Amino acid sequence: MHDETDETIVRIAAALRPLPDVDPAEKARVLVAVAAERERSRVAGIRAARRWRRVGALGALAAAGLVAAVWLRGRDVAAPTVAATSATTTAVGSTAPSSGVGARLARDDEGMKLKTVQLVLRAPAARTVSVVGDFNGWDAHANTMTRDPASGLWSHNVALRPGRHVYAFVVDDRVWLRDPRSPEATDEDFGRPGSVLLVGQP
Amino acid sequence: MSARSLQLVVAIGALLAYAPTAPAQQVAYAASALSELDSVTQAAVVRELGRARTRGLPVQPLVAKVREGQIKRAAPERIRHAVAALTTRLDSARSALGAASNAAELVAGADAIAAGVNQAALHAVRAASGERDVSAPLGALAQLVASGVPVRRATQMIVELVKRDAGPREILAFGIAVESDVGAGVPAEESALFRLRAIESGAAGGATTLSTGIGDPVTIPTSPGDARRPRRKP
Repeated sequence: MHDETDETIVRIAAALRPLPDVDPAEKARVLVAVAAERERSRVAGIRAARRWRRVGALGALAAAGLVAAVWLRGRDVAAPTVAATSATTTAVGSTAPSSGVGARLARDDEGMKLKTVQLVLRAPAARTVSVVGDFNGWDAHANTMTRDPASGLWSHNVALRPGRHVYAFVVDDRVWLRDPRSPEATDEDFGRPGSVLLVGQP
Repeated sequence: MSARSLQLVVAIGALLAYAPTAPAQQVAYAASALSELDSVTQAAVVRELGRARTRGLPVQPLVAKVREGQIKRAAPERIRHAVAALTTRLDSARSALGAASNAAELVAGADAIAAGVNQAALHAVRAASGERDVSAPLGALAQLVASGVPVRRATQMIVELVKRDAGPREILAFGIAVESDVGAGVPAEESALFRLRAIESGAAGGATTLSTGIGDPVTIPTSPGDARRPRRKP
């Protein structure tokens, strides 16, 4: 009886034990890999549908079923990539991957805690993509995005102060692109709207 | 010495004069931004930096505005006007928020003014906050107004939250939730009222998790089964 109780307590304690900390850089890589895998699935689905359309009258019936299946599956899959070029943002967590493994909180020059947010853009044909915004002084060289060759997805993590931020993407050093998935930030000064990102506390 | 080098020296000199305590990286960045302007615009911008400096306003946001104009390929005249307008907004923000406000608060105030918030609203948020930092409440206020909530109503909501001792986390979560609702087609004011009621009823205990729309669930206190979710626009 006593042993049983002890075992129960041990099992409860094991269940309540907090999970080990996840390396934020690894988490960011996994997020990009998942997005890339989704993109590959979406492209594969579209290609399959195109092949089926060519089969003819009999194949059309089967193609309809396949397209319906792809569409149903793609309702959440396609969400991050709604257009030929689209973007999404993900808060990675309260850590800064760029600061290395084990760094739990990034801080700015004034000691304020920063929150790392992952920005993702789908631009398969782009050669370079940068993130510009009030957080980097609109410096196109401060935050360049990295391309996943398989999917054409560009991603970058930025460490931001809590608050309201305005940002946009610069593609190939000349194309201004606001994030279509975030609210628009009007720009009465220069007439080139950006996007708004509200960042909560780390 | 070439004209370009001379311009760079003038720009760096101006920056060092107006921001003697700025880190070297900021000075280099600012000098780079200014040196890309034509001489007339550069002189005008440097004068504007001087005006801001003598009035005790932060210089860095003005330099960032120059860089923003450059990256947006704006005409020099437009950059000059934008810098002057930002100086005015920063000045207005400081008048409303008080001389002791920090740079982040002034920038948040200036952004809020650009979004349509008036000085009376900034003053109301400061009055309700006391000595607490108002950057986050002003950011949320600016986004509420930009989303379509009338200034007076949005100000009342933010002031109410501040008076209830809601921290920056809750206030920004409120703004993010409204932003997410608006993105889903819910009218801004309806969403804001719903989200505010949810927070107000938090005094009864319990908690609910709001999806913020950026993969970042934020938990705010509320009682279970309270206000219904807002309806989407037809």
